[in-house]
Amino acid sequence: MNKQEFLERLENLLNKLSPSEREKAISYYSEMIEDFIEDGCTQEEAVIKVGTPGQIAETILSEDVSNKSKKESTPAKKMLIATLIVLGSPFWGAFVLMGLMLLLTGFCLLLVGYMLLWTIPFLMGTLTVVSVILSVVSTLGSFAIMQSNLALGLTQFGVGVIASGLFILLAISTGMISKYFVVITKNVWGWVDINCLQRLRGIKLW
Amino acid sequence: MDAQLKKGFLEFCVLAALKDADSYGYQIVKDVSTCIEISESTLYPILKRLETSQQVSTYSVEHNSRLRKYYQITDKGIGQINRFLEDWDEIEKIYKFIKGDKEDE
Repeated sequence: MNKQEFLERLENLLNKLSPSEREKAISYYSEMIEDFIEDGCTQEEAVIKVGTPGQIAETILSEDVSNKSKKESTPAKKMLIATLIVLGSPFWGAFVLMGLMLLLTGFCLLLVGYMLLWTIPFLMGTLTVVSVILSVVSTLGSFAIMQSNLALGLTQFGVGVIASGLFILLAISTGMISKYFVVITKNVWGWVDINCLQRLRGIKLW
Repeated sequence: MDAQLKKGFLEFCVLAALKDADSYGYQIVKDVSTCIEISESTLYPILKRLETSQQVSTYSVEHNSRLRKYYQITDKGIGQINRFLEDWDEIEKIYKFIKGDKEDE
């Protein structure tokens, strides 16, 4: 690896840093390599002596994170103060509060809607359970009835068979609908995560 | 030497390397290496810390048609060295304690 390649690789690895910090690091290592060369090393030897771009970037970035976490309390405090000022002012405070309440209401409505959606698979699940009980009780019970009244017993047996059929159909469709709902939930959540939450966390997507 | 301990010493060694004359990265590594192991990549964060805490200041000088960054120790940096030297008695006490010598025996 020659000096140019080394510095380019390092620059890429440090792209999370601010331009000025990145520039500082690049010029430091560029100077080091030049000094090694001046001292009699070849360019390749000099690059090997200063270390690999990966290790160097790791050291610098870990150091940068520890600096940032110390400073981060101040912007957070500023945000809090700004919020308090806005909320505290009689005019804007009312508007902001109203906005917040509307947002909260919207969120609650969405939540309720989502829960209502799930009542469908829940209802079907309940019917499945009912049908399985009905089929077992009817089928077994029909034998007892058959001994005293054959016609009624046979009817009862038929009801049991129908209930078994219903149970099978309901069980399959409940499973399918639940799966479908889970897939939809996952997709919607994934969309919310990418478009809202990750942006909030400051992750650059594009 | 223990990595944690070394990390603490290195900062003072770098300051000491600048005590008599201003110096630049490559030379600092050379000078400090005579007493304690230091690499170019360990020096970088140390210099950055010393710079942000204003124990050293920097300026650039043209050398062989490129820029060389020089580091100069500030009064605050010299104060830091002196404080370390004044702490010697305490360090000696810790050393003795770890070794197991009791002073009043």
